[in-house]
Amino acid sequence: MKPRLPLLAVITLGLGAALFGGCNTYHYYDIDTQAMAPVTEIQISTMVFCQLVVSGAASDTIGLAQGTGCPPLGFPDIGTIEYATFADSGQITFTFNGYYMMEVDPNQLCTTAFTTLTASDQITQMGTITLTSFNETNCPPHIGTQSQ
Amino acid sequence: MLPRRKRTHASQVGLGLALVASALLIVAATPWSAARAAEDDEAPKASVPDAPQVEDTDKPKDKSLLAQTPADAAVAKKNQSDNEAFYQKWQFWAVSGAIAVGVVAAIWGSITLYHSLNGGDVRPCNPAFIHCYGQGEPN
Repeated sequence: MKPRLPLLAVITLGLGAALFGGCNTYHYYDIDTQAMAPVTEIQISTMVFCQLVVSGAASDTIGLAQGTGCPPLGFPDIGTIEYATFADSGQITFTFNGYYMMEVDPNQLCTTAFTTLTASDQITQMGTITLTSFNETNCPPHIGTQSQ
Repeated sequence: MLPRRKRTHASQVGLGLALVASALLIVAATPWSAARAAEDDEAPKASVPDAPQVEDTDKPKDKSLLAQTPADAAVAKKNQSDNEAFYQKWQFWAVSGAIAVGVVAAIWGSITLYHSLNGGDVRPCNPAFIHCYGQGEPN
């Protein structure tokens, strides 16, 4: 009976993992952020800190700082971020927030936009966040940028 | 002249007893009769000559009967194996090794299965992307 012990352990652990852990599959959401007129390249270049807030079927807050999308390196296509989650049902919303300073402050918010996708069995979904407005009151052009 | 005594029955019995006692005394006193009686008590001697004391007379003369048979070797081997400690037997190490390998395989399989059931490895991040985030991502 002893040689059967490992096999029984594997089966037991497998069944236990299947019962208690469930079967998860990664789902990927490729979120492309773009700027659209009247937002200008000069305006978005003033953003030094950005956030991607995930809400709904998944929940997360991702900070984008130097080298990770903020300040944006491209225009009008700021770039694509891939978000992985096990969520396969419900609505999942991606909100992009651009800030004038390195802190999350509503008074420093330059621009915000979001997109909502429906989570499903589809492994990869693509969405686009389009920045169509810019608050110059909160985010005045930098002096160096203004001279250009 | 005195009258002739008449012999009684009691005197006749006494005379007989005296004769028997005399005969017994004669036989017991004779030397050759005692030796003969002693010889009669001894067991008759064997006709075969005496064997040396160290020689085993029960030992069979046929050498083939003394040679070890395969059954004797098997019995001796079994007795030897019975006297071995459990950790000196190869079966112990075979079973222990199998159990150890099985446990390691079970742990590895369980971890792999658990990891697989939990989505496995997240796919590599596309270098064209700014970054990849979320579950399973190293961040």
